[in-house]
Amino acid sequence: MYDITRIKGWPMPVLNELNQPHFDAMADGKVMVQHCPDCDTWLAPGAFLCENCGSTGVQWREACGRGEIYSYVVMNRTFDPAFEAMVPYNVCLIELAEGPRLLANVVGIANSELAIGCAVQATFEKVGEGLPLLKFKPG
Amino acid sequence: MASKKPLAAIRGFAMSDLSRQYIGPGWQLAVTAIHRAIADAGLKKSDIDGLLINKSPVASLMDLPMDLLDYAGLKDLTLCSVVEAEGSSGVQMVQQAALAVQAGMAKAVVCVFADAPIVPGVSTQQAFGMPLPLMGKLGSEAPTGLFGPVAAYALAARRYMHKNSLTEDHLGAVAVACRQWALKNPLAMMKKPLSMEDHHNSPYVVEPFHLFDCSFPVNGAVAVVVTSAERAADGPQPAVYIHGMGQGHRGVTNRRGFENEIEIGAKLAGQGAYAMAGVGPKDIDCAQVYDAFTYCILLQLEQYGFVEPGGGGAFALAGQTAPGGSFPVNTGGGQLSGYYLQGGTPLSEGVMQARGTAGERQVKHDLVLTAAYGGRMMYHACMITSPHASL
Repeated sequence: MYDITRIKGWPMPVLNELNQPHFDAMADGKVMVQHCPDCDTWLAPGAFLCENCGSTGVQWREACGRGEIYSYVVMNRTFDPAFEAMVPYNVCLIELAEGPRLLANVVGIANSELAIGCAVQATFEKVGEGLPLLKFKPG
Repeated sequence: MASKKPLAAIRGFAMSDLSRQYIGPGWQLAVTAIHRAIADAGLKKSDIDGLLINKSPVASLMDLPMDLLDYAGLKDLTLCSVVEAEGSSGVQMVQQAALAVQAGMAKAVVCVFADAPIVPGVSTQQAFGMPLPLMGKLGSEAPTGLFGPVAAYALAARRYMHKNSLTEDHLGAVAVACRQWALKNPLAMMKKPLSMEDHHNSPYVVEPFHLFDCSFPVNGAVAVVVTSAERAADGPQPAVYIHGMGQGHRGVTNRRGFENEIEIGAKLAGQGAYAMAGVGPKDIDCAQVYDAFTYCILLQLEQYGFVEPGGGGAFALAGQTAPGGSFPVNTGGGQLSGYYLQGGTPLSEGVMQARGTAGERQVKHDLVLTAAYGGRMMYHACMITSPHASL
């Protein structure tokens, strides 16, 4: 379990220095993840240190926003009212071109057309009361 | 096989009543199981000098408090601790008790798991349907709507199925086999036969998981009494000797090159237990593994070395894990068709099989592997037990 909060009517993790830049960047249409300058490893947020070389010098960097579906599910029920109108909706694990994996909803495609390996690119949609959220679309 | 002395032994074992109804708080169920296990061991409360407690990660400390010793009327303990390693704790408790007994820190340790997730007005879906930090450190479960362990495991299962070209038939075969075992187990909650068609026709909870790919939560408790091999030998019940133990924890690495859905710590745990016992997977007669979801059995069969990597699906589809198959797995129906008491489920069936008291479902039980995991299969513990004091 981890603590969740609501930002503009949408369920969100409690933000801290390890995850806030990732979510803040969504307002600017950017996919921000972390990168280790010492061993050139790209990391999924929120890394405290580089899981490859142990460096504590990890930095936030913008990823290109392209990737592919690593795995996906279709939620046939939900536990939060924010998602009720979306059922059945997908949640995908996206592997970015740089390597890190992020959870996101993929839009612009029928759930039945989803497939592992499907190429996707970042897009940003407003959810709740106008909160920008990173999603992906085919392409 | 090697000829080594066992590390310790299980002398007593018992469960509380199991129910889909609310039959009391977790601590009360725990006290019942503790007292029954002590009686089963032929011991008195005053013989017990150690208590290890495992609560569900989603239950509060109030439900199974540290001062359970007072509720249970235990005094003058030389070992008392809450073991928190998620679902792997059930087996980890027994491991820690065995180590304490070996070190002379305690003579008779009660290990207990209890949970009461089903309360009036709260469905089990709601009880378990919170966003879980199962994907790593980011916490994107909530904003993307990935709620509950079913969803997190379905995501892992999809990757595993893709990698090994598996279909819902392979998952269904696991559910059907577990149900066949459950029909032979008076304790099991599921009493109706289950066909492949029934599995496929059951509603999706989170695709690719149908309802019957998911475990069956109950309220209940499991307790065992761990002593030295010598002290267990003169108990009223057949002793269950612990010959090997292992753990494996790999964490989650969310980037290319790391398939957390397939390369899990069970392999490491198994290697440790096999080395300690001086046996290999081919020597094991049956396995009791944590099966919160169908996919988990398939992967553990591979990771513990019972089948080749990627071979779990075909093995289950051929009926090899079912009654009459070449390698019985989760002979009480597991968590899928028996009862979901987290690590307490494989532990309970492992003890009954190793004792030779499993009734109609008893299988060859010279060597039993009992395994449990926690998180999204991040934390693993296993042990190798037998009714024989030497292998």
